Amino acid sequence: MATIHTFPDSDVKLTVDHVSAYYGKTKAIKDVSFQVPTNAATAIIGPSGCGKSTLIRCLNRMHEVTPDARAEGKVLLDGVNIYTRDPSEVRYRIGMVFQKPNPFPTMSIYKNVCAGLRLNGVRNRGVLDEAVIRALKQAALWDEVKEQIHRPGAHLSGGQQQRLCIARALAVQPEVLLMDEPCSALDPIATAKIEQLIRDLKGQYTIVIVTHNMQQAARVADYTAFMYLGELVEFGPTAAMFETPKETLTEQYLTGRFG
Amino acid sequence: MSDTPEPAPKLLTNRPIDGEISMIKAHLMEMSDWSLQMVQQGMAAMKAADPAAAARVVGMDDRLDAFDVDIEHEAIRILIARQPAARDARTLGAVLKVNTYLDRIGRLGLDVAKYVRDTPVKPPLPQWSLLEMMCEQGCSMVRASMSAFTTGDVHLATQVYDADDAVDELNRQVLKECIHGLQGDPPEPPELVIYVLISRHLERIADNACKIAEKTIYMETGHRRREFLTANNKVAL
Repeated sequence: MATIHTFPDSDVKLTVDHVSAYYGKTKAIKDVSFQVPTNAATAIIGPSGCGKSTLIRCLNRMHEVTPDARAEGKVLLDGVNIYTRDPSEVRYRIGMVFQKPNPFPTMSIYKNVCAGLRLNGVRNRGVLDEAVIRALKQAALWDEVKEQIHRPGAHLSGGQQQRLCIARALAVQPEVLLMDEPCSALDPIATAKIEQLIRDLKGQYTIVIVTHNMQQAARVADYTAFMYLGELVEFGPTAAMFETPKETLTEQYLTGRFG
Repeated sequence: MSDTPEPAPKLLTNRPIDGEISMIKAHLMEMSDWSLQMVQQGMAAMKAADPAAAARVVGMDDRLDAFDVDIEHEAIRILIARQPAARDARTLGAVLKVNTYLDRIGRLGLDVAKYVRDTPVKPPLPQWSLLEMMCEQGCSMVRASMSAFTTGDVHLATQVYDADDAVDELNRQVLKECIHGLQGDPPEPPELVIYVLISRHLERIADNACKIAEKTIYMETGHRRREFLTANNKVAL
């Protein structure tokens, strides 16, 4: 039995409905169901191999990009199953930031940020300029790069590169931002900046973040999901879960008895 | 592809934080003994009207302070080093609170000693026996609450609450008898005013024992006192 917090329908952005995910014959996610609230940060935590990255990749159909991988069940975005929609449209509305900063190495900062818009046919220079400045400001990078916006993105520091990737994701104005261990390759200062960014952005975007760092979940997330061996064990308000988890397994993980 | 039951995780049985929490709880037990000694020796000094004994109790304050500071430092060090969650976090939160309650208990004993040091007292008046009963019961409650805290005995913690009513009743009785004595013809000696103050101190010691019991319940169950009592079909005090 799992303990799963629920929300009124009006507060829900994503509904994960009996989702299972496979790599070949291996079942990595086992019938997971929970709701992701609108304009809040939701963390997914759990030990290595529990399926948290696989689960987040099911939320914008990135999982099926992996050869021999497939998913079952439904993921509803505002009530519509994303598995009945065009994957490109889904990923336009549900952006993603990955563990390792991955700016397009040959592109300038400017072109990195507007890559998604250009891919979707936006060519108007004024529209692109406006979108780039807005996204860089939202990603708290504008002040640091505004004098060098046509330099290669790969010349930035690791933390700046990750914020550039966040700006790139935000430029297309997604409704949901998925972040798969966005700070795991960053130093503490860069990590603090990304965490502040998540706190700033969550009022405007629905954010789902996978992290192996429990304290990071406690710092940035309003709600937390704890997974173990592909199953969702507990989902609820972060503060309550970290103070008094309902499930013994959650208690054992949070207190470092395994993991 | 069948859904076979997953194995339970292999649990660590000897985490570093376990030893650290055991150690800090042991320090709190030492502090508890010291605080109760201050109370009992303060009461003994008052009963004997012995300013020298009272001065010795006053001299015990430095070590009480040292307990307070050392335990707080240790708890904060563990918080920084281990970044605990769940039961560990609740335990360290409780440690910091219990530290404060024990400091207050010792200081209430100190205040009793200061009355002896600063005020000429005569041998005990008849109402003194009520204060001795209160002291015995209050100290017993502190010992029980600390035992519950160190062993995580929620049942014992709830029993501490039950004992508080008797101390409150004794406090009311002292107040009533002292007021009666002071209004008598001829009035009884003005030391009765000190007795009222001491009675209040002793009642506060029992209250602090209840607070320690409350933190024990929180540490063990995650419930605040009212939540716990409601969940267990008991009426909140």
